[in-house]
Amino acid sequence: MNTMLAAPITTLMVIGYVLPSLLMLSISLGGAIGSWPFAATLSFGKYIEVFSSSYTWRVLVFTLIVSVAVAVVNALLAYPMALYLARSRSKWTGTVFLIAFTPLAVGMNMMTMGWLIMLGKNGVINYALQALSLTSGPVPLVYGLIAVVIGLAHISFTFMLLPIESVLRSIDPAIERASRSLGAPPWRTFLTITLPLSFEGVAAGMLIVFMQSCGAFVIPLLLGGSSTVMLPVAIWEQMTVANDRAAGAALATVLAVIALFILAIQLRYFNPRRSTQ
Amino acid sequence: MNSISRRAFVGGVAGATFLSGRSSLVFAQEKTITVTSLGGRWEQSIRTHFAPLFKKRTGVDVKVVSGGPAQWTAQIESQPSKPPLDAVDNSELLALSLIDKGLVLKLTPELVPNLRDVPAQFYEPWDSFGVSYQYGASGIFYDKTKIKQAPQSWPEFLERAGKGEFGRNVTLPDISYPWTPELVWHLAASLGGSLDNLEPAFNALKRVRPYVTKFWGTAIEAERLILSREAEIGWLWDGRVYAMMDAGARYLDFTRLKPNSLFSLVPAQVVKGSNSKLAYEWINTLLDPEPLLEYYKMIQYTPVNRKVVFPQATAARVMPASEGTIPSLRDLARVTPSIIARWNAEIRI
Repeated sequence: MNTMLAAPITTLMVIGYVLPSLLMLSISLGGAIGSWPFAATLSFGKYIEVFSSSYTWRVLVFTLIVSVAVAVVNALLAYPMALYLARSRSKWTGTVFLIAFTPLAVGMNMMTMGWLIMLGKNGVINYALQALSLTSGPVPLVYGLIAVVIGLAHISFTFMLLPIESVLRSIDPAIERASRSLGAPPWRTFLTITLPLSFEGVAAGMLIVFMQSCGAFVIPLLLGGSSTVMLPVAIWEQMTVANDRAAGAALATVLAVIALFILAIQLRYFNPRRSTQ
Repeated sequence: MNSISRRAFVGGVAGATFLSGRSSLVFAQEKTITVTSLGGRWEQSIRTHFAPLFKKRTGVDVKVVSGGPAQWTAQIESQPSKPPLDAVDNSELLALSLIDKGLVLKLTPELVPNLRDVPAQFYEPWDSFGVSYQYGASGIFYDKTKIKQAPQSWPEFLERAGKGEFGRNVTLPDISYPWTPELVWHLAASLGGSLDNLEPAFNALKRVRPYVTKFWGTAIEAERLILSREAEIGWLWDGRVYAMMDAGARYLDFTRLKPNSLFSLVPAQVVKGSNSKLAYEWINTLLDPEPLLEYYKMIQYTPVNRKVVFPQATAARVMPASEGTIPSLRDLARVTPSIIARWNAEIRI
């Protein structure tokens, strides 16, 4: 019965993810579009070519660093909000939840446009800085690393918040009360009880955000500059400018392997079912 | 068995009248033709100006697949025996890829009568296996309230931008924009270089780089930079700038620079398949002066058909075809990987 319930999503994953991934892998290894996967002689030439390029390494390392940075920034921003949502009985929690969902409701393109209006040379922040005589001219806030991190952190914020809030909500408040009743100050209770018990949610959120950031395209393209190229943009360039599908597929395979590796870590170390066994 | 609906039959008869005896009943037996278009205004024009005329002439509906050339060529290559597209608006280089793989058909004046009114430079780059029905011309846009004396030539533009005369308000395309390799060649050629000597272009771009507010990845992004007034001067196609000017950007102006302008061409190709007869008729419709004029009024890219009579108000904007240039596309394809590699190493630092 349980197996049957998984059938629709399994079918969808096989058709929409596994088969295209195999085709992509085949193309990266020298296969042609329109022929059976792996029908041609396999060649690792494109992988050797892309990894021989210092530019590829620069883009790869930059993608990983930015994705980690976004995950860390998001964890720091989302945790207090998640704590409030999990513990507060305020009538405002519904409103806060609504605010937390706005990145998903607004959509990536609109949100990116919003940040461009805020951070641009003639944007709201620069206007305010100059109006308050804090700067004499526009400050470069956009088209760089900071703008990319801000944009990615914003769009993925909900995916960080929800796992943390869910785990915090599942922690028995009696444990924290016991700590307090034994004389521990609030900060110590938080550091020794709440935080360790909620770590699973933090880790799950960070992994989701990390993977989302690794695959981000629109935000790095529009909010980033010429020196902030991330892997999906490099894939796009291979596909549409160089017209080199094999190189694009090789880079896409690298991106998929990174995502699967991170997923494997999540399943190995932060799988709730595993930890309760 | 195929049946002919009353509507299709009437459409077919109307088509027969217009086409002076062409076999519209053959067309009417096919229910749809699948063609491609870029999104936004382009798709709107295809649906509004070209598709109705095609339907009127053939009785056949037009299904428009929006997207981009990389996607369309992949779709055609993945199903060569039963291609999902009948005609494709391709990129200059990917058009060669379909030709080399034998997936597109040659255009002749017998099959595409409007081809007779098109200068050869718009189909010769693809040996008649594609024809561009319009062209954009490269030039510079500039904020005329800030820049009183616009550059007159590409060397002058690059020199003044590289000296910081325009401040950090210059914008140029990034290498993620498909036409950038051509732009690099064009700048090199304007500075005395060639496809095998791109040094002048890269040297000039390195000098301009500190003054570039943003290297844009898509033309829509370029428009946003202009309309938000983050960029005051930069490289773009004429049609896009004129469209912004006509939409109310009164501070904006555009000029083509000497010695010439780069063409932006979109070769339309007939895909080899069961619907090729209709696809030829579609290409013929794309080259028809009547919808081309409407297309021009909406998009501002120049139609290639000599019979198009431009409105007097905008006729002066139109660049004569003789003033445009493109490189040898096969040679460009050869050097594109090295241009990308060099851009990544020298400009993206």
